[in-house]
Amino acid sequence: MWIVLAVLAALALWAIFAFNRMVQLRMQAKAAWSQIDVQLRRRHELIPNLTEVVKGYMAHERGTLEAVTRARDAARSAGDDIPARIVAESALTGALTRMIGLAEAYPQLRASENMQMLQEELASTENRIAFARQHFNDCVMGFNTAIGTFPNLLLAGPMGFAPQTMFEADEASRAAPAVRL
Amino acid sequence: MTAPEPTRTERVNFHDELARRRRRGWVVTLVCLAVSAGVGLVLSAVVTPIVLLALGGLLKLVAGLGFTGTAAAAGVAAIHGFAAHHMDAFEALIDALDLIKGPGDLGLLLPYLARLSPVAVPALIAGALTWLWLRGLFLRAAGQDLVARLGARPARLDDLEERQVANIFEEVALGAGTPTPRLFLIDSPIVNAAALGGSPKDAIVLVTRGLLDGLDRDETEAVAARLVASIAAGDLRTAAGVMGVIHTFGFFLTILDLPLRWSAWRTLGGLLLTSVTPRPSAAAVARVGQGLEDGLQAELVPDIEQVLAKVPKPLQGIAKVLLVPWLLPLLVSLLYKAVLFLWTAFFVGPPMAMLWRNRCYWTDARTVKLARNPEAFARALEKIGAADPPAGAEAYGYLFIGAPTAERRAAANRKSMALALPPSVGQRIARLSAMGAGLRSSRVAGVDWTQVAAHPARALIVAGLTLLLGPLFLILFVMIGYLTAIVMTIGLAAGLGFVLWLI
Repeated sequence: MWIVLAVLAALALWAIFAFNRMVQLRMQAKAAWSQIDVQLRRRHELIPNLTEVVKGYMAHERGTLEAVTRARDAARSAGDDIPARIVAESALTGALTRMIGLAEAYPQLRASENMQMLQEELASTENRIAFARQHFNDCVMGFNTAIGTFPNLLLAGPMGFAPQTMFEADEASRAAPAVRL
Repeated sequence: MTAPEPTRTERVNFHDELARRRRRGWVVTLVCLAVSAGVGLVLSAVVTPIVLLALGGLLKLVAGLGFTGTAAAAGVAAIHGFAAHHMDAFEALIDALDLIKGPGDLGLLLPYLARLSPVAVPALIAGALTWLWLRGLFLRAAGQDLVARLGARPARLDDLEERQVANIFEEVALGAGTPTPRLFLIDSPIVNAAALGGSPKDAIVLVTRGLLDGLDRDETEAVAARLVASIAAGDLRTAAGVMGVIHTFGFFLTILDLPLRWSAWRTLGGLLLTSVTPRPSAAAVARVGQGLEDGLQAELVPDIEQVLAKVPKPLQGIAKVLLVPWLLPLLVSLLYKAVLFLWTAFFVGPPMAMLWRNRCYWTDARTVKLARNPEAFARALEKIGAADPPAGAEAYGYLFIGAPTAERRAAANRKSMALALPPSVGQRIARLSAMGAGLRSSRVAGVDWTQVAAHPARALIVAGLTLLLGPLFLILFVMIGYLTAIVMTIGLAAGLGFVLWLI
């Protein structure tokens, strides 16, 4: 009688701990995802400053500058629709890379302290996005492993824990060279 | 001479390396726990009487002053009873020694030993409490105060290089999913960096200005990843734990040194003072740590010569005569110290160093997982090399990325145990090469057994050395065993006798 009760109590304790652990991992993944979002927004906010500085030197490249601004507006209006967002963001990455590449040809611009600072911020933001994505993927992997392995497996299905998808580096951003200083 | 060939290594995935280090970490931790407990058990013969004397003395003092007199008196009586009981058990054990006719009879001693074994309990409790106390003290001090002491300053965000470092730490912290540590810069040309603080929440990273100027963005990122990985993994607590064990042994050795050298009094006084000060300065704590480590390493007969040298020449004869009553406690103390020293040097130090080294490689693997750039990390390590920690941080050298290893420490003739802990840069780079960094012609310390096997002459030399050194080590261990037995006997008989007499 007591043994049965003890076993039941142990099972209940395990279920509580396992459930809490899985919820915790899911929240971590969610927080990691929102971090990517924060960093993408940070990039959007950098762009007006960047185009402002570049404009003075690169008057002939109006088309490139406009492309960057357009891509940024498109990315901003993509909202929370994730596939559309990913496409818009990688278009923005491509436009930015083209602009930075062109800026390399203007020695005065390159030497400007303002530009150096902005370029560092941009490089840092790109890195942040990459690191945030890596962390998100780590979290998703941790969560998926936790719900996919025995004995949590027994609990995950009935409790409604479904595996999440990782944020793979898409083709567009893989092709674009990373912004480096 | 031809240039040395790049070292060949087996490639390993960082996930596998992490798993291997995790397993080894568990094993080494268990070994360390077992060793510490075992050594504590052996040394308890020495430590228990000290603990009983200190506790009994304190209680007598309290009773004498009249506070809570009856409770104190009961405590004194309990200590007296404990000592008397174990004195009886000890005498029974000594009597039982006559029963031993050969090695087969050793089993007969077990019941007597079992009856005596509770004598270890006060020492083990005292040891554990001392460890917690010292660990807490050094954990608290290795933070903001150290920053202030080193003259570190926050990064200037209008400076491009410093802005970059601040950015890099934020990036890497995102990748690790930890809060960004607070960044402080030291205006020093030395290329080095350290992570301080007790937990990820109040973590501090120290970077020298020399590191900013000497490393490119990728390398700085790798260094930042190393520091953030170390913070996230809780290396700071492990380091404090390892140093706590070393300091605990140093503490008991320092107590044994009290009749022998003045600096022991100074260290102990400093320790008490820093413990009661709400916010002790890092300098004071570092001095105490150094003092405790000195206790572990000091020559066996330290201050007597110096004391005698200070006495004017005509009085030296009288001074020597005055020292005579001290000779017996001096001799006993020396014996105790010798045994404690041998045990810490042979049985505690190596597993602790192994634990910390494994931890170091483990964190290196985590760094690769975080920054995915083993090559940049290897380059950064090469540039940092075996750099010294910045002036004033020597006692915390093990927290820095580049810390002088044992060989360099010996060359610099420093006496800090802390500096002997980290593995050599060459070995760390070899592990990084295995995880994907480019191969280097760095010479890795240690014996390459495949090379030995390929050359019969070398194999012969190694075999000869083994044959020669094997018995020597055996003799050494037997001697340590005998010395320990003698000291345990004296410790229990004299120590418990003292307790019974005084308390």
